[in-house]
Amino acid sequence: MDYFLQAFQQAFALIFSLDGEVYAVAWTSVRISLTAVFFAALIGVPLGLLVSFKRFTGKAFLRQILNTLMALPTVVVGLLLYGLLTRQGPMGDWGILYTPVAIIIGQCVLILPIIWNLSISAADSADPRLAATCRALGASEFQQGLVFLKEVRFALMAALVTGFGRAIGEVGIAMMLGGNIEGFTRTMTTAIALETMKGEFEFALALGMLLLLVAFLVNALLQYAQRLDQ
Amino acid sequence: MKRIQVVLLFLLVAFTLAAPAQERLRLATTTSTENSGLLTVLNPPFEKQYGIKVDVIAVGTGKALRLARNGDVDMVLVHAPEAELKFVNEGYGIDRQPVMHNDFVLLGPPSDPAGVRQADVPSTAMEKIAGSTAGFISRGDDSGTHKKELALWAAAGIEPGGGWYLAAGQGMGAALKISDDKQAYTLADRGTYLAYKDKIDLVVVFQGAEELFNPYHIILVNPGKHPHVKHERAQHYSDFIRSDKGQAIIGGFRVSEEQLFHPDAVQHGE
Amino acid sequence: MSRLYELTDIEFAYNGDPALAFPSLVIGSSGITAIVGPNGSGKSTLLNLLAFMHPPGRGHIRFQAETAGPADYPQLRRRVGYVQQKPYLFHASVRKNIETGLKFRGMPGPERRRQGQRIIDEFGLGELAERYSHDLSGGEAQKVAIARAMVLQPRVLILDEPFSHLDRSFRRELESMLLRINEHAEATVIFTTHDQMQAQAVADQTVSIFDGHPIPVAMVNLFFGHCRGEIFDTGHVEIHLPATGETGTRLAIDSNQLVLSKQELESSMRNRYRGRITALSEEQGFINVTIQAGEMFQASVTPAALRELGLHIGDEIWVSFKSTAVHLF
Repeated sequence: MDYFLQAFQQAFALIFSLDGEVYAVAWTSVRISLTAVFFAALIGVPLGLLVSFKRFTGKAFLRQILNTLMALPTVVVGLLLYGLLTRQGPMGDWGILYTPVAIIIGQCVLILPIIWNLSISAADSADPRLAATCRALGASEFQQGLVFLKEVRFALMAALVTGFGRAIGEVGIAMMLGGNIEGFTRTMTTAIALETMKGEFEFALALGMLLLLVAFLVNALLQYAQRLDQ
Repeated sequence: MKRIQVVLLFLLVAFTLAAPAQERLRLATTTSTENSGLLTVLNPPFEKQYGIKVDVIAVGTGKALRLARNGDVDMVLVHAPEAELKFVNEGYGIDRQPVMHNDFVLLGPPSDPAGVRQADVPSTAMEKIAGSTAGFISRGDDSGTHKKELALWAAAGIEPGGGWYLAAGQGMGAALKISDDKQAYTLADRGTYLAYKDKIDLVVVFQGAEELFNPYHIILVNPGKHPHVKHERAQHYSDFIRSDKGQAIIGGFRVSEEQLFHPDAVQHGE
Repeated sequence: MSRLYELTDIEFAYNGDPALAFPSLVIGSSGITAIVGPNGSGKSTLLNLLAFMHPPGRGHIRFQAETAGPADYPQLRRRVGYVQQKPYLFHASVRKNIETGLKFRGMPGPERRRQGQRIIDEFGLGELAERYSHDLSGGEAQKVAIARAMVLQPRVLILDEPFSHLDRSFRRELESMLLRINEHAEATVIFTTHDQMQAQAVADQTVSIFDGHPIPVAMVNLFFGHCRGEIFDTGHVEIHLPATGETGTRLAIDSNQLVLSKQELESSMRNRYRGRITALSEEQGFINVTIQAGEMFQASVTPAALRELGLHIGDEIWVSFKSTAVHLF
């Protein structure tokens, strides 16, 4: 039991010690993952609405593909993007490997299928009368999309929160594309992996608790923003 | 209210994406080097003096050299002489220079059932372990430590295998934990051993022989192969860590009040 | 009468299943039109076409003397106010719901609020204006949906089954609301209902529809069954048919073709049934008498005739009609 007790104590110490380094790592994690969610939403939500609105052959197959991609292993995304971003790769000249931008791209790729897929479900969950109501009131397709965003915002928020959770909790991409560089690309998960490797199990577990706390705070903030919106 | 949220979100995104203004130099090194904490005292004086940030990417030896081969880093600091030479001979690296060495230690249960403590040379120590009831835990992961271990067996003329020999296939920390659980012998780098010292019951049963030394070299990525690398800056770094100042930092670095690294660079002024 | 809608040879099918076939239909440019038919008869499909929600599979629709092509539909929709059956309100306040259509038209905020307020006052929605739409009762929601359509000042207001799911008092209110809209807002009103009486209560023109086809009679005294020679058997009663050799599975009799009497009539009317009065109701100066005589018959009589016959609920009564009064289809 000492093991857990120690981890809890360290977690408390971490949170209240105001240790700049720990907070910097937490902040890096949050802003990278939020930015990834931002871009994944920018792409995934409109695509989700589009797929939901349109009838086309292969729609069921697309859903199946997206369902499959939701299980994409993070290391695989890391490996694929490494191949693109390495100096030898097609996008090597950008020189973004081992920068936060690389992690953002990786996490974006990771959670795009999630946000896309859940956005389709969200739009599908809208009242069947909604589309006709919009059309009857003279909405263009774009305006109709905006109304859908508003009407299914709860389900969409769930999609974003799910995406954020997957992004901030993943380690494979952050490690592979970020390189776990201290003060630059070290995220909470790569820090946890590092401490685990060093045998600092209690400290690693404490960091894990801090990660959960941070995720909880961000989710609470999103919920709060959503409530203000009503 | 909504507008404020949108503005905040965009600020966050812009802030995250904004290209870091500071110049950065990339060093690939092994996890054990990074974990020892040496670089956190060695790099800041350099960064301050040259106004450049050193990004340390800590990975396995094989991967570190692979990154250098791909031109994703500017230099490597590793301890795998054979692989290093291959890397240099293939033209990917230039200017390979000795920096320092640490050493490996043979660990075993305090009771030392195989009597390794009585050995005076590594080959004798290995002979005693081979076939002992306590057994031996190998990293078995093709790491530098694993390669060193295989070299020690070969020097003693032993083909490791059988019930007493177990390959963990994991990192040093995990291998130490397994050895501790089984109260078996194992080979570890001193840095990791010191980090784990308080958590395990194993003790050093053999140390100090030159065969157990673990030399570190710095190698610069060949700008002929990868024109984008910051060769001049990397050269500065190499010069710095091999200068009197750098070497003094290395020699003075302590973990649990023990010296971990021994300066190896041929003295030359800055 | 000038024409608002003129439909020619309209056909519409859902996934290959024919749902509607109207050789012709004209709807006047003023007044209130009711489209009457049982559930699943194609009323809503017809309404969707009139609201330009989607083009017909075949045929032409002329609207305000213009032929409507599919490319004109978005534009045409803006001249039509369409209130669906159990209308959907957005997750927002009543006021925001009402302003939504104006927003779609790109109207600037202040003007939008002015227009919205105008319709809120007109419809007496002041107390509800800031309420959240999903807290409204069915009747209130209906009213908000109509206001939301009317704020756009449409040329025609189309409502799908507005009277179903409403309680009695709201029904009265809605009736007068539609009459007022028709009169003051100068919008033609078209609505569907499955209740012939409701149609007659409000509408100037009634279109009866059954199984996707227009039928020439009002939608009362409608019976299902099969023909056996000159007899139509509903399973409960047998009805004599005119000797034209026509057949069909449905039969309708106009409610004012039914003759009521206390005793069996000695006349040329071949269809005579004895039954009991089960309901009496007043509708636009006429009395509707419902009689259970094997089947439910509905007769329409003047109040004077009612007094003369001295009819009360539960009385025994004879219903008679000519074989030529029936429509077989």
